[in-house]
Amino acid sequence: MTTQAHELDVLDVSKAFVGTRALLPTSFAVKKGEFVTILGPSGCGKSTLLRIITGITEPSGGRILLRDRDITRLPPERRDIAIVFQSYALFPHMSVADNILFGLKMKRVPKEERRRRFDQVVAICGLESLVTRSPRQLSGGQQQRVALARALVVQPALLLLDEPLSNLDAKLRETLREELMALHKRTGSTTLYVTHDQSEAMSMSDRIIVMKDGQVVESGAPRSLYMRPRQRFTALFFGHTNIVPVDVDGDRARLPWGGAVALIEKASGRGEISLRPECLSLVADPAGPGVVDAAVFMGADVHYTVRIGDHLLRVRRGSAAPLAEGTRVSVTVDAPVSLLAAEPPGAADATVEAR
Amino acid sequence: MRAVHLLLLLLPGVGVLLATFGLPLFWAVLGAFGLGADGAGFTLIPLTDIFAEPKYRKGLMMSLYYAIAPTTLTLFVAIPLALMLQKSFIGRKLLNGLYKLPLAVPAIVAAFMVLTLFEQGGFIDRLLMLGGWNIGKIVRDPLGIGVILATLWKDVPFMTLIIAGAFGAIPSDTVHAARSLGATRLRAFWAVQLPLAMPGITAATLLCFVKSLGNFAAPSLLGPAYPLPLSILMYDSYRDGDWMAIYAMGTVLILAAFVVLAAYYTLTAAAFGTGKAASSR
Repeated sequence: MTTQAHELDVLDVSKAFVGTRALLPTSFAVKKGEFVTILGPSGCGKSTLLRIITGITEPSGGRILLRDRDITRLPPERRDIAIVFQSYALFPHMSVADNILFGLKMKRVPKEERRRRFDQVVAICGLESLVTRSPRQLSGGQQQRVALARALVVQPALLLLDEPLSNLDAKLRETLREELMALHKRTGSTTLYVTHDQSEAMSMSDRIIVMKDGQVVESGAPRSLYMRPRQRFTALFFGHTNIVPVDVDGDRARLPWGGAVALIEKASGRGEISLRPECLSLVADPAGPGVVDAAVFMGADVHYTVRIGDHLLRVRRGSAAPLAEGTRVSVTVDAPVSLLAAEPPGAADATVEAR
Repeated sequence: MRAVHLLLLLLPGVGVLLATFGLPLFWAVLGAFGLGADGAGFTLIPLTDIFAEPKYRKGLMMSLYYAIAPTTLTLFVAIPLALMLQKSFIGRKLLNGLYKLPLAVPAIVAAFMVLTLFEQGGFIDRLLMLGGWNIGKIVRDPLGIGVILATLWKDVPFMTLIIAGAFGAIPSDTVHAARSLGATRLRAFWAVQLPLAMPGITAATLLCFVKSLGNFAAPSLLGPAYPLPLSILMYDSYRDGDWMAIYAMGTVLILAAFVVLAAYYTLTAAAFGTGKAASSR
């Protein structure tokens, strides 16, 4: 089950009720150097999972392997995993330098090596001018960088980031997101990132694991999860989409208003697909099946609502050649899609759903 | 002009403090030197007497002993107890309520409880007798074990209450971060929890110490007949009408408290850098 390439293996890890929420048996693996994000709404069990991996919380079942070593029952200090918390959790009674040196002292790294790694990480994180400060004198973004430096300096086998950007304002979040990605490229540290922000997840990750109600919904590369989700939940969680019922015949899905779209797999019968608003093309066509119901100018884009048969479609196109409300249009789909897994009976009542 | 405004603004608060606390203190210190309204002229005799006469010298030592010994012992009980109360375990709520009970019992009642329990021929002695043992002298013994027990019983919940609050105010992620950076439970305690809780621990220690320095009920009921602590000697002097001695002893007690507090601050500042930790939250 485990291969050499896996840095972290989570095998059927579960937690019986934490408060009112449970983590169902969950398995996944993270490869060396990979940046993996666990994405889900609050209460989906992602933070519990992270706490189990660090050793703060004990799992009810399952095993965790780090570099093929079973760490399930090890105390946090013997796991070789460093974590950056949402609250940064800096030591307020120590200077920035002492915060960063803490892990090296605890791990009894020789003095010369300590000095070398300290200088290196301070340079990477751009903290040269702050080392003598107290954490209380730092801004949120600076504290975040110190927390990151403190975790990176011990060169852990696995770096865990628990919503590290969510306490920052939008602009700073974007800057730090880019810094984090650059840092990941430079250090190559195997990283497990937890967030509820889908755009953070998409922009940073090699792979995303989507969680809901204490279990994994699906996982994959950001682009394929966004464009070709297998689960209705994923389709809706990643942003606006149109859930459309289709008749499937081989690798073609017939749309309810006529026309068809290519599927990436073969199937048959009835099903549903997710069509992103920006993957739909509108062409003015006096004989077309659709009518532009509303067109909202957003600057770079125009957001259209197109009535087609008894469906309302959300479409997003560039604003270079806008279509006026009331224009008759035909709708085409730009990219192949995948079928959504069948929902449990009763869950899908609306035929087209826009979010 | 600004200074006058400031003085006027501060007057209601500072004025009351000066009138109710500063004046009697000033009076007492003056009195100790034989000055003031009913003084007989400047003299150092009452003050030097305290250090020259064995009764007073040993009384001062006894006062310090009755304050330092139980406070130190209380620390060793209260810190682990406060740490334990941070964890969740079965019965935590019950323990959390129960340990505070002694706070509701007046000191004199606590002293009588220790007396009836630990006196020779008392409750525990009789229990031990069933097994053929003897309790030994715990009440009115030369080491003042009875006094220390009674003070401990009163002080443990008091100190635990404050220290548990100090530990509780440390965000749990701060400790978790230390652990995942390689600190064992013990090292995380020494390097992170203890320094961060130090302001609370210091406050608790000082409050307990000063409270015990003037302890009267326990030593008079449970302590040895000689030496007596200054608190009881002051009362005796009052019955003899010897105000000079009272003033002198009061002054010395205050001085002793200041010296011990200064020593405490110096020690903890050296050990934990309390100066930084104290202002950290």
